[in-house]
Order: sequence, then structure tokens, then C-alpha cells
Amino acid sequence: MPVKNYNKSELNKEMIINVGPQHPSTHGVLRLVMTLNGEVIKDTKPVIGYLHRGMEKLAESRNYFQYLPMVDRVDYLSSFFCSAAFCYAVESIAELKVPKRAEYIRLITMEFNRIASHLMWVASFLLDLGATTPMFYAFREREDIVKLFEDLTGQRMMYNFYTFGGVKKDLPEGWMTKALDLCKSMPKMFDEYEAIITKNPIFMERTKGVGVLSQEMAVDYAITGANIRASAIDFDLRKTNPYSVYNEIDFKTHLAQNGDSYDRYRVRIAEMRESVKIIEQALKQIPGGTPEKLKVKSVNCGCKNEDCEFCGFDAQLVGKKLNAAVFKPPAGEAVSMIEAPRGVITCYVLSDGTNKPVRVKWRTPSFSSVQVLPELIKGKNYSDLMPIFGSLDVVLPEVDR
Amino acid sequence: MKIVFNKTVSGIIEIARGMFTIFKHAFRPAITLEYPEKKDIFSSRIRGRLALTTNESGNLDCIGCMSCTKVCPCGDLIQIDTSKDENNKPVINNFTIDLGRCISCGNCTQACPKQAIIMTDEYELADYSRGALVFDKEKLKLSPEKSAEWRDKKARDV
Amino acid sequence: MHDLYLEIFNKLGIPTIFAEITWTVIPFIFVAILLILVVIFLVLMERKVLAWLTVRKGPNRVGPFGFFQTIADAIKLLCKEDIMSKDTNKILFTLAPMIVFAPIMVIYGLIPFTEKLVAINLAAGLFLVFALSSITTVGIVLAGWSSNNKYSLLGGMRSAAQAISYEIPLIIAVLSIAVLAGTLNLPDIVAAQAGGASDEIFLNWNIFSWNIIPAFIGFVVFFICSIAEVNRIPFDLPEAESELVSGYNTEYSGMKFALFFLAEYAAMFIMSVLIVTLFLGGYLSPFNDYLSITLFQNVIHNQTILDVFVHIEQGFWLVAKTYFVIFMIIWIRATLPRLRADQLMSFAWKFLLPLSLVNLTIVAVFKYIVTLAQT
Repeated sequence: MPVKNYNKSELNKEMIINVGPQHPSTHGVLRLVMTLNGEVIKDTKPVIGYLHRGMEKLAESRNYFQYLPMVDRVDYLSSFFCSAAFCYAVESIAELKVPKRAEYIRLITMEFNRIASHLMWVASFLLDLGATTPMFYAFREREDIVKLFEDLTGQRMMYNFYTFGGVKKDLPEGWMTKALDLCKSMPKMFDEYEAIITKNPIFMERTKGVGVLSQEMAVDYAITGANIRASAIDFDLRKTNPYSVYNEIDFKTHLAQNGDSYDRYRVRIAEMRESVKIIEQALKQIPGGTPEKLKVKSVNCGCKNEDCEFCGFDAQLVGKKLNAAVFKPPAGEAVSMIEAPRGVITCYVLSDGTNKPVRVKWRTPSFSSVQVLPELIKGKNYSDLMPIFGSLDVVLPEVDR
Repeated sequence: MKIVFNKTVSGIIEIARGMFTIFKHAFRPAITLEYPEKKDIFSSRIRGRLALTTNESGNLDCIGCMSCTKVCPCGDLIQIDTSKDENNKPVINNFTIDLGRCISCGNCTQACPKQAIIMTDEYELADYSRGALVFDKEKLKLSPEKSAEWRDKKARDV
Repeated sequence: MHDLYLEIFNKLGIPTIFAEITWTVIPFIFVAILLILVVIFLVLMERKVLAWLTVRKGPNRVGPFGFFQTIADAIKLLCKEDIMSKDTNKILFTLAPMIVFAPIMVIYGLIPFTEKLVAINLAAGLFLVFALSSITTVGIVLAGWSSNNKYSLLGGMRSAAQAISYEIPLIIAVLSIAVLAGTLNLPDIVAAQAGGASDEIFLNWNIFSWNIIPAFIGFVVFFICSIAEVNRIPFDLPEAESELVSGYNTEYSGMKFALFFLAEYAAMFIMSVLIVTLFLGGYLSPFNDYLSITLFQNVIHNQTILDVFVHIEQGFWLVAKTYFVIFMIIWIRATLPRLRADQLMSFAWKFLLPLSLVNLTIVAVFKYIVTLAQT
């Protein structure tokens, strides 16, 4: 119906638009209430909580072994990392030692998970920008990695593979050969993505100089991971506070200078290539070698010496076999920090001597990245929302827990 | 002027390189798996539907120790009803699992001391009502031959 | 052919007035059937080609090789509920898809498919084609405004700005074709591209007199502008799925959405046929004579049947060249990301417009030299 008595000054009002919870590109259910003036964004308010599942409250009514499968679901794209954070915290309280073979298996699975998560990011980032084919190529690579995980743990996601003190099962036969073959073929696939995208003039126009994250802003908002390494801050937990066996592996961290979306893309692609090199080194250095060799040598050796390579402590899978029903760590608290694909995941566990934790607190990296979005996008064009938001790599299960 | 010309030429070359990379893919075999005519092959560690194994005489291997109920994350998912027979051996009257609420984590299979509950490779469990997914002892039981087959498979892979 | 038709009517005893009326209607019926067949095949071809370029298989369940997929889609869209929001302007909402689709149907009648098969033969056919294709912009803006939805409004406005900006280099590139051919009549433009460069043994192939050789820059400009006119990637900001949830056709469902959908594919085909007609020689074969004549000249002695064969071969050449151009358009869709709105505008005004003027200069000089050489 036509409006009859309108006020002339009301015609220049700003438009409030809802990039609603149901949207093809918010990487989950995130609602952004935006105030637009024509095509220029004046203000953004993210509204979260649509995917809140009460992960921290659930821990108060379950014992440690019952909570372990739920930890995978805090961020289902990097579930090995969340599992590792919880396990390291509980092992710190209960003073369990983890054998070296288990640490190497944890490292290999974590790095494969990092590659899979970054591939998922590449697929969705480029799909938001309009290039529809790299998505299918990235999922083809991810399918290979996920098949490896299915042979190892039995499921394609939500693996439930780590336990307190080690891992639940050994590598199956032939797994290491398949993993090494995959490591050889993956850099060629990364070269293909680079040929399609990296020097594409349209992509460079769209992402260069867009969404520059300055160093002060990054430190103020506690942003970690590849986002901060693209702004030339050298902070990688695997080098500064090494956990697991990262101090025995030789790798580099990649930095970029400008901090715009293009640099975040370059840093993540470089991290994928570095992860492949880490996996190759770890597969060669794993104590005991392949599972067939380990079985044969430990039967032949039989020396039961603590330091023996094949039948000592470091060739086990679990430090101490625990009884799931009556596992009671002593009273205490512990914090563990892990370098996940999106940043630093922190897990704080407080126990009081019973078999249920009193409090489990998760600090996830996407929560901080969402908070920096309104700052980065103020005054920019509406079409810049996708390159900026996509390059920050925000995943909603991490934000809402 | 020279900058514009250089940028244009390099832009065209990069776009052409991307286009040829994509064109090569048109000659590679498709990676589509045409379900349901072709299905995937799984390893023995697959975490499909839960099942109870039986021994040669057709009785359940389960001894009623309730370890699986203590580690299941879903609360009261597994309901076991036991009693003792004349030789003081445990007899399982009823064993109900609500498969609609199961998250396939595998905690129960790891906690069982007798390997009496295992995860098979069935995943096509869709049905028309939620009540149809509550499996009782008869539906969960495997025949003795299949139990032996699965036990072998899982034993070969520690 | 006309005499044959009159003879049939005479034999059946129907007065000749009916023969005259229906003779003029037959090309239109042919064009309408062609439109439906083309769009059905094109939707499937796009999905299949996109799938092959991404190592997948396209639709292959409905019919052999998925031939009936589009019919299944059309039936599904027909059976959907026709949703209209409470506050929309119902007349404009219903009128918008028709305004987008109808002019494209008219343009199908102007294209020369073979030497004699052109439904509307106007002296200023080229002019009418571009006048009609500008009407679709009005339909898109109407669709965006009458949906009572902020997203659709944004999409409609962007589309109008984009369509207007990209029409100018398009028209200037077409102007160079008018210079080369000396006429605005489409069948004459195609006929002017026959003959080859000279009369020698290799150079008298038709391919050397196609308009693409002097006007290559114009071909590139026309190609890029036609992708922008049809709203395809990399210029599909008005209906970008990840930014505006499908832009101006967000609120449409059922048959109205099917009209928008079909209009986009029909427009893509029309633009490709125009590229082929103006630059790539239309229905002419690239060799010096038609293959049917060289192959069948000594076998078949009836002139009418040979004519029919030649016409079929001309149709085949047109279709083959058109689908080659469509394959290039789909290939570009698979490769490139989307351009932002202001980058799109600056690309059109600062890059394509000067380029098309340069092309016009080159073509004018070329035509002057050729006319001098011929006298």
C-alpha cells in the first residue's frame, strides 16, 4: 500500500537488515543485525547462542569416561584437538604419564585433522566468494583423510579415540603406508588450488587490503592462530610452549606481513603444507615402527626392560590401564592449552576427588574472532562481509559450545 | 599505461592457467559413489549398530556386570534386567537399547570385559517411528555363526 | 518450398487464403518449439558440464544420461504453492517475471537459423534485438521492489546498475559489426561473412571472412558484456547465493520462479546465438562450401532434396558453434569468483568502454582499407 503522509527526513533513514540465522554462508547459525546506509555498513551486532548445547553444564553430571565422547563435539571439525585438551588437563591432575608411541599417534592424528579442517575452510571460503569448483576438489582430499580416520578409529567424525593416559587402539596394519602415500600426493593437489586461486586477479582484487587486522587490535581481542600469524606476530603454541612431542619435530611457522584476508589465506595454505612435512617426519620417527614390526620384535625381544624400544614403557599405548567405572583423580585443578586450527583451545578442569568433575571450562578461539568482526567491517561495503568473515575462520559450535 | 598493460596481460595469463587446470579434471574418472547400487567397504573397526554376541549354544555372552551402563554418556540408554538361575549363574531376562538416542561412541564395547557387546557394520536403520528403534534382546542378538565371525574380526585387530 | 506448401493445400481442397496465413505462422511455431527444446537441453547441459569439470557425474537417474531432468524440475515447480506476502503489490509481483521473459521470446524470432528460416526479417533487425533486451532490466527492478523485502530491493538495484553499465560497451562493439557489414539486417550480416579472404585455394574458406578476425577485441568485449547481461558468474552479484540469498527472486516460488529460471537460460542461449551470428559467421560453414554439397552432389540429383540437406547442415553449424560458446561461458562460471559491485562498475566504465572504442577505430580503418583495395 502506498504510504501517504511520509516525512521527508525519514527517507534517509538507515536500513536494519538481518543476516539471519538461516543463511547459506554464516558457517553455522549466527545472526548478524546490520545497520546499512545504502551499501555501506554502519554497525553490526552478532547474536549468538543458536547452537548452545550446554557442554560445560553437561560435565557436572557425568563422570570422566562418560564425558569423553562429548568433548569431541565441542568443535566437530577439529575434534581431535578438543579431545587432546581435555585429556592433557585430566592427565595433569591425575599425574598419568603418556608413553611416547601414544604421543606420536596423537601428533599424527592431530596434524591430519588440521589439514582436514583447513581444507574445509578453503572450500567454504571460496564458495562464499563465488568460485564453486575448489569446494569439490577440497572435499575430494578431505575424503581421503577421513577414510584414513575411519580405518583407524571406526568413525568419520567424533572419533572418541584418545583416553586418559594414551590412545585406545594401535594403528591398523597397512595404515602407515597409506598415510605416507597420501602425504606424497597431497602437495600436488595443493599446487592445483594455488594455480586456480592464488594469483587469480579477481580473487586478489576482492581480498587484498580488505579486513586488515592491526597488531594492537589482534592482541586486544585475544585472537590467536593463523589470524594473528598473518599480522606478523610470531605466536604458535607448538613452538613457544610445546606439548606432546612437538619439540622433537623440525618445522617452521609461517608469517605474513599485511594482515588482510589474502594473507590469512596464504598463511593457511602454507600451514597445510607444513603439516604434511610434520606427518612425514613423525611417521618415520615413531618408536616401534609399524604395528607388525612392533608385534614381531616385542615377542622376539621379551626383555621386559623399561628402556627397551620394543617392550618398554614407550612402546605401550596407554600409560596405565584405568577402570572406567571407578576412575577418581585426586582433588586439584589444571589448565591445558592446544594449538587448534583456528587458534588456541584452553580447557580448565577442577576436580574434588570424586568420579565426576566439578567444573570444566572451555575457551575457544572462534568466540574471540566473532567479537572482532564489527570492528573490521565498520564503514566497508556490504559485499566485503564475505571475504572478511570467511577469512577469519569462525565455526559456530566453537562459539556457542 | 605500462602498468595497466602489464596487469591486464598477467591477469589474462593467470585466469587461463586456472581454466586449464580445471579443464584437465574433465578427463579424470568421477569420484561419485553411486549409492545405493554401490556401497562402501569398511574396516573391522567400524562403529555401526550395536549387537550382542552369543556362544555356540545360543546363549548370550553377557554376564550382567553393568559396566556398559556405567560408561554410557547417554544416561539410561542401556537397560539390563538380570536374575540368577538355579546354579547361581546370571540370566539376562531383558536387554533394551534405544538406538535412536545412541551416539555410537563405543564406550560400552570398550568397557565390556567379555566382548559380549560389539558394534557391527549396519548403518541403514531408518524407520517410520521412534519406537521401532528401541531394540530388545531378540533384535540385538546375533546368531552364533555371525558372533564367531565378528569375534574373529575384532580379535585380529587389537 | 512455398510452392510445395501451396500445392498440398490445393490438393486438399482448402482455399489458398488459409495457406497464406498459416505459411507465415509456421516459423513462429518453429521458434516456440525451439525455445522450449533449447532451454530443456541447456539446463541439463550446464549441470552435466559443471559436474564433469569437478570430477563428478551430473544427473543420471531420470532417463538415460538424465535427459528428462529438466522436465522433472519443471513438474516439481508447477506443483508448488504460489506464495505471495501480505504487503506486496500483487499486480506488479505477477507482472515482473512476464516482463523478464517475454522480450527474450521475441528475440528468438529475429535470428536467422538458416538461409531462409527467419521468422521476422526487418531492415533494422539488429537494432530491435538490443532494444528488446533492455526491457528485461525493468522486469528485474520491478521484481526486486514489489517483493517487499530488503534483500530483493538491494538485488534489484544492483542488477539495474550492472545492466545499464554493461550495455554501453556492448552496443559500441555491435556498432563495429554494423560498420563491417554495412547493414543492420541480420540475414545480410551473416551473408556478408561468406566468401573468404580471396579466391585462392586455401584462402577462400569462409573462416577467413568471419567478423572475428578484424574485430577480435570487439568479440572479447561482447563476450564479457553478454555474460554480465545474463547475470552469470563472475557478474552475478544480483542473485549471489551467499550474499543475498538469491537476490531479486528470493520471494518467488512455483511457476513464477520457473519463469525467471528459464528466462536466464533462454537469455544465455540468445546471447550466444548473437555472438555466433555477428562474429562467427552464423550458419555458414567454415569451409568453402557446404559438406552436403560436396558429398552428395553427384549422388542426389533432385535440387529440392539437396536444398533440404543444405538447410539441415546450416542449422547444424549454427547449433554447434552456439554450444561451443555456451561451453566457454559455463567453463568461466566454474573457474572464477565473483566481482564486487564497485569493481564491476569500474571494470565496465574504465576498462571495457575505452577498449570498445579502440575496437571501433580499428574496424573503421580496416573497412576503409578494404573498400579502397576493392575499387
